[in-house]
Amino acid sequence: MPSGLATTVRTLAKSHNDAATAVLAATLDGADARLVEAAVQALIGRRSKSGHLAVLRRWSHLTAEQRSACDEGRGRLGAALRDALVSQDDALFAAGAELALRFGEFELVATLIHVAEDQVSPHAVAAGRLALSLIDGLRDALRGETDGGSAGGLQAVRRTLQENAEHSLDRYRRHQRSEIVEAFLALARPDCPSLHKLLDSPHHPCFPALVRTLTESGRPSIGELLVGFLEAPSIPRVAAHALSKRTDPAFVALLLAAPNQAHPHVRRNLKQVVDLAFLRDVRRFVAEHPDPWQQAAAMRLLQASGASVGDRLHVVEGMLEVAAPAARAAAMPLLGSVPGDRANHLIQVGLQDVEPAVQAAAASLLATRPCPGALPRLVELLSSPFEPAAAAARAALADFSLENYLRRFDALDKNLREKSGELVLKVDAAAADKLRAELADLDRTRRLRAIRAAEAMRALPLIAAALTARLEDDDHLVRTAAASGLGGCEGDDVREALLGALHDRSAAVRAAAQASLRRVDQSAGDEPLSTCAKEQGAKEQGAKEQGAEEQRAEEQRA
Amino acid sequence: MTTSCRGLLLPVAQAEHWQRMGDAFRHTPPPWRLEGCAPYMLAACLAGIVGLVFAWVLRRNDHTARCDDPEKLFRELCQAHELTGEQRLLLRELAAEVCPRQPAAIFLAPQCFAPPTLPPSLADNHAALRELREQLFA
Repeated sequence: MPSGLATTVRTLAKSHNDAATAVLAATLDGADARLVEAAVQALIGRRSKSGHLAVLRRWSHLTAEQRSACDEGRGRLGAALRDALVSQDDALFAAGAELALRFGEFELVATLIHVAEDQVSPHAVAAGRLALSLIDGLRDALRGETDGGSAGGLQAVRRTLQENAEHSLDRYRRHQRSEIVEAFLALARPDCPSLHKLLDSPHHPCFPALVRTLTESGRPSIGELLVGFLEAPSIPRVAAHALSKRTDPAFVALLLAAPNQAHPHVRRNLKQVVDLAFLRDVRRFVAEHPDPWQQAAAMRLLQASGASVGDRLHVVEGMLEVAAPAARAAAMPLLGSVPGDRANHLIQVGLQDVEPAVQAAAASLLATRPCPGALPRLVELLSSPFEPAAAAARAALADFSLENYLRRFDALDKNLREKSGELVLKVDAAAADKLRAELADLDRTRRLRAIRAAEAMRALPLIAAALTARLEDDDHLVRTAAASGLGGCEGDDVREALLGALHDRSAAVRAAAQASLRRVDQSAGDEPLSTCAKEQGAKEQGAKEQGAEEQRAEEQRA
Repeated sequence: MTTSCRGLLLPVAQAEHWQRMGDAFRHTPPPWRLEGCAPYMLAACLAGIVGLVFAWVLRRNDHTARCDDPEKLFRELCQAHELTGEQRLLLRELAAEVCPRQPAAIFLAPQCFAPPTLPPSLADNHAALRELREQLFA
């Protein structure tokens, strides 16, 4: 803007002389766009309602640049905007509405509620909608303020407007404006006592509109209110009902993202939700929410809800067919507390799933509930490279522990001992340690049984060191069993120990050691017996023969 | 004792002499004469007139007070543009012809400075008006 004209505009804008308003308003009708823009700028800069109204009256004739000159008047046009919004003039109302939205004049919601209540106002419906738009803007501003960490006056504005809307609802029978109901709900917080009172008053004139709005409104603030009820100390029944009936994707996404199910209020309130309508058609839900995280969240939500067993089975069945792996895995816990063949079948389906996480989730269910026919698959899963699946299978087969095996060992036949023993070794990750502990037990019977069990389980190589130590046992039966068991092991230390056992005071031990040495050497592919062993063996044999001859001679003499 | 009593009784004894004391003075003030006060009154009136004029001038040029005065707004704009007295007179003359009710509107009406639209009485001043237009709108 030229400096001369700028001086004029600046002087007129700041002048305390009201004649400046008339001068500037007259200029708005001129043809010179530059002067009109200057006049708009000056009028907006003045604290004069008549000047602001003059601009609003010509709003539809202003260019985009001229309108943008009004941006400097943010916060100063409140009175003029209020007059514009209550006027019967369509153009003036439209200009006021546009500027109210552009400037975020949230206080005008109170005025708009009054206009919406007016039965004869031509702008009643538009005022209601504009109020809702402004409330949306207020919500966004509040969110930004919260994110910024500053508590501003916007909360006070919200409370004031909420009171206005609440008083208007007292006159609902007269105006019947659903927009005002929606405005009240959009402004209210889940812990608002008056809101709870209204929701608990089915005979209130606005009650049907409240229920309808909660169930059908696509406004984000209404969705947030519904979800927020979950964190309230108690959820109104109407809210729980509305929450269960909502199927619109935006709300469902909000519901899946928001509630912290660890919160005790949320857990308790979710039990009040006995239906989740958006999960009735699982295929549609998966199509609308392809994000695996959302699908899994839906399963957790269903798990925490008060949905019936039939609904749960229906959802799990559908999810196992079409959902993402994470969601399929999240669906399996839903079957945990559900008895019956259908649930068992779904668990079997989960065990056969291609995704290891789903297999693991299905297998983990079997730790607490029986499922006929699942044992072979569980045994297969023990060998799964996916550790969680193998761990889940181990947990499901926890009965196959070493303690149980040893307890029943003496009652089992040889074939069953070997089969069960192999399974125990796979299931019980601490089996080898437990066997070593058994070998160190003071009770000779338990030590002997542990050696026999290890042999049946083919676990002798795992406890070779402990067996070697048992060659020094006080009991020659234990030493004999240990020497015999070491025959199933390998390694130089084993061999050395067996060589040492050839000098044992018990002939049975020496014989067992010799036999084991032979087996060790054969399995190692070395020469059958070392020279030393041969010598020892020859000596042993000679000693035996000599002993036998001596015994026979003694008998003949006798 | 005798001497002190005598000192007190002496004025009483001579009362006839001092009771007439002051009789020679005038009992009423001299009559008031206008010609004696005139200079002072004239000075006071002058001071009042000067004060009033001063207050009027002050108020006339005080643009901070809220008012609705088109003439004052014109002056305020002239002052803002630092126009000379000659320019002010010329602009006033033009405003009186073009927009007599809102003389300040001339500051937002560059088209009124164009020679074809000038009133006949200002036709001779088109050069000064062109210069003024340059100053106000350039």
